[in-house]
Amino acid sequence: MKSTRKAKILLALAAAVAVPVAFVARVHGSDHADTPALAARPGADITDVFAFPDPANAANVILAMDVHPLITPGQISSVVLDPDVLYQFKIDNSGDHVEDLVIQVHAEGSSPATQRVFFSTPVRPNETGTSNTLVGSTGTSGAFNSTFSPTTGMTAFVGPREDPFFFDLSQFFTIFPDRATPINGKAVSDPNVPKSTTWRAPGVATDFLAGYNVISIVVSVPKASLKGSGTGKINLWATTGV
Amino acid sequence: MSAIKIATITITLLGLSGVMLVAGCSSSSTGGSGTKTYTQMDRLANPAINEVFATVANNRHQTNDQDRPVDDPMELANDVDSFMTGTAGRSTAITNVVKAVVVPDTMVIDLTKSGPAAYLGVQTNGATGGKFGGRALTDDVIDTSLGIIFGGTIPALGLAPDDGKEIATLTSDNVGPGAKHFTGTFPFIGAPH
Repeated sequence: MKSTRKAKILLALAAAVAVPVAFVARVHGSDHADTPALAARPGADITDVFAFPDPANAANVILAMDVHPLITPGQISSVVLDPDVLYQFKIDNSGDHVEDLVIQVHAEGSSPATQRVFFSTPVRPNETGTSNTLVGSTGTSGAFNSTFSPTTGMTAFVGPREDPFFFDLSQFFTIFPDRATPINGKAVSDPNVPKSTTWRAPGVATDFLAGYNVISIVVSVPKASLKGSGTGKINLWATTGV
Repeated sequence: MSAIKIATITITLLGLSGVMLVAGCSSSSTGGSGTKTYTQMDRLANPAINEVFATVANNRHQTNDQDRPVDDPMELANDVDSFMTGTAGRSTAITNVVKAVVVPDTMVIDLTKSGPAAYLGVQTNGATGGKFGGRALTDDVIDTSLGIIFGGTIPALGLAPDDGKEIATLTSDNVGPGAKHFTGTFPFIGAPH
C-alpha cells in the first residue's frame, strides 16, 4: 500500500466522520476503543489475539496480543509498552471459563532505549476476574524490542510490529455507522440497521490498516505448562488493566 | 480484598451486571500492602465478535470489554441474539448455533492436536481448516465471521437447517492478507513500517 494512498484514505475517512485524523486512532482493527477511557489510553487497547503452534518447537505454542493501534512510521521511535498497564493472557484449562493460569506482562521505564519488559510463567493468579495484582514470579526481564528468554522454555518479544489485521474498516463504518460513534460522537438511533447491504468489490475494497503498526506482545510457551491437569483443550483471552 | 470479594458475591446474587462490579471496584488502585490493583479496561479473544455484534450505543461494546467470559451468557449473548435475528434476519436455529460458538467469548485451542491453527477450528470440529483451533496470522477472521453471520456456513456444516436468509453481498469484505509481511521466525508478525 502506497503511503500516499493510505493517507488519502485516512483523510477521507476522517473527513467523512468530521474529526481530526488523530482521533481515528480511537476506532481500529478487530476490536476498537469504544470508551473515552480506552481512547485516552491506546496502550490498553487490545487489537488482536493469536494462538498457533510454534513452527520451531513442536512442544510449544505461540501466544500473541497486539495493543496500541495505528502507530505511524514516524511514531515508531517513541512508542513503548505502557508501563502503567498490566497485560495478561488468561487461560482456562478446566472448562469453566474462569482463568486457571495467567501469563502477566508488564514494563518498567518509558523510553524505547531503556524500557524493560517482564513475563511471568503461566501461573495461578492471585485473583480471578477483573481486579488483579502482579504475581510474584516475573522471571528475567528483557529489553523492549528484543527477543529474550524470561525463563527456561519460554521465548518472548515486545516491540513495534506491522499491524497484522486486515479489514475494510471504512466500509464497515459505512454499513454500521454506529460503530464509528466513538470517533465522531454521532449517536445512531437504529445502531443495528445496516446502511449499506454490500461490501466493496475486490480491488476497490481496502485494507485500511496496511502501513500502520502496533505494539506486539509475543511469547512461545510450552504446551504442557498451559494444560495443567486438564484435557488439553484450553480457553484463551487477553486483558489489559490499569 | 475480602471486601471486594464480598461485594462481588453480593452483586452477583442480586443478578446485576459485571459492569457494575467493575465500576464498584475501579477506584481501588492500591491495596493495603502497597501492591497495585489493576482494573480490567479491555478484553479480547475472538476478533470481530464484540465489534460486529455489540452496538456502541447503550455502551454494549464497553460492557463486554469490561466483563469476564462468565458474564457473556448474560450480556454478549443478548447482543448476538439481537443482531442475528434482527439485523441479519436469521432463524432461531442458526442464531442458537452462533451463540453456542461465540459465547462465552474465548479463543478455544486444542493443544493435543497438531497444526495448523484455524480460527474457530475446535468449535467447528476442524471445518475451518484444522482441529487445533486458535488463530493463525493469515486466518481471514472477518470473512469467517461474515460467512457465519450472513452466509451459509452454519447450514453447510449441518448444524442448523438452511433458512434461506443468506445475504451474499455481505459474506466477504474482499480484503485478504496480501499487504502483510509475516515472517517464518519469531516473532512472526512483520517488521514495522
